[in-house]
Amino acid sequence: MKISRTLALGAALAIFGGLTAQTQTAAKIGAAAPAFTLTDSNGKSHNLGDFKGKYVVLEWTNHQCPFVVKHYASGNMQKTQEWATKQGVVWLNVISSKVGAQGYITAEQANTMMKEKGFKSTATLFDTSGDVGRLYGAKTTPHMYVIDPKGTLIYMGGIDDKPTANQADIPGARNHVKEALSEAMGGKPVSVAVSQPYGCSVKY
Amino acid sequence: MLSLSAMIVAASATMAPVTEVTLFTAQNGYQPGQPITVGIEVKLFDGWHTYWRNPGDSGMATTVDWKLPEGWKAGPLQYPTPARMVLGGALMFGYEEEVLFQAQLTPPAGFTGPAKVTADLGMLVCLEECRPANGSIEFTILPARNITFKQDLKDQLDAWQKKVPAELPKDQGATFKWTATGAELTVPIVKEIDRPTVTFLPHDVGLIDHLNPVVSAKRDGKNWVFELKASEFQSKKPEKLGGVIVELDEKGHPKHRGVSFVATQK
Repeated sequence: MKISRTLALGAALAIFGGLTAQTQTAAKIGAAAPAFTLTDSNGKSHNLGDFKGKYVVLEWTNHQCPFVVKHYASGNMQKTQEWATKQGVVWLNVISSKVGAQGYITAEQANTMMKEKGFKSTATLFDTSGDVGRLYGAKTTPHMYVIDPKGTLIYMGGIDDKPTANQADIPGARNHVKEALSEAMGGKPVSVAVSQPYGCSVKY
Repeated sequence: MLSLSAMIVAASATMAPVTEVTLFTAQNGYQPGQPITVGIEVKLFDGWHTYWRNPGDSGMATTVDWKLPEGWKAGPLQYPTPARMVLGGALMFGYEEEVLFQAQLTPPAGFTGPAKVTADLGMLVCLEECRPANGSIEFTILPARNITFKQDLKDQLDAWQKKVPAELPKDQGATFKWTATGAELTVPIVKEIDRPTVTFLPHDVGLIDHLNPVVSAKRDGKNWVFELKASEFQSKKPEKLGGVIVELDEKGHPKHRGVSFVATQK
């Protein structure tokens, strides 16, 4: 008797699990970017819906990851952020490292780091539970997403097409985020809407 | 001096070393026009791993750029068949504990004198965190009238060569076609891949799903026909699809070296 009851319970859980998964909307090009609310390093809450009417870039980051270091020590990421934010783009860094894992920092440490490294992004958001990272399917740091003013996801993938941790590869690389924003702002279709992200695994 | 040997240790002033890289050859020197095998031995500290030619969902491909005297040619870097390592829902192709990559360097027929060779290694080693293990190793290979081998080093190179995937015979080409959901791959059945429980390790990122590449495998005469699932990041559909077909144990480690090929489009 006991055995059959356990099995029935297991089956019920499996069905429930399947339904739960379906209600979550994963990130998909051409579809509405998944909604989220996260708190930034100054304690301010941001809802994706607040930015309707503007382009939004999400940049998953971990300041101790060599691939992130490549793009910050060279100034490439800050330059791209500056170029974008000057045109009214909202650029959000997202940290999904869990407490104690590589890349996890307090709000105060994040503010110091952003100042020291000359971040030109709009805000740094904390996703310590990893829920938003998993919702978007963020696999690496960096992992980039571009959302258009209607809230539609128009790019997801790597910052560029040179999957290395070597700064020397930046000058010859094709910056997919810059390209996607330029094309979309110019009313053109995004030529590379998806690319393989590269970097360290996200420390969920 | 029978072997050339140079070592880099991935460490910095504030970090303990996590890997040691040793470069060597098993022979006493080179002869003009004759290939010489160079081994790159990587010893990883407990728990750390490094990567195959396709790192998988994260990480970085291990590469070597050779700087050689004029006329010398370097063959492709030979990667042993990697393990599939699943970490936090992501899949990586790579190696734990130790791995040996090798390549053949060939001097031109008329070459004389000492040959200065530089290997620029591009490598990333990871545990929970990642550290670059990039470095340049410079060494000199001297000419030798008669080639002699240091047996233990030759045995080491030979043993690792047996872990590099076999090449599918040229006259037994693999073919594929892109489909709405991925690719249909047709590969001749050879000794190494005569069971349906094999998997596919794509040579390059962004084409085929790393975690669950094989949707179905069916036997069609002398061929396997695999239905492969596209990578969620697939943005191009090239005319060639390279990879390794191999059987893995329950831990994701290769049971044998598998078969490597580049399939052409039907």
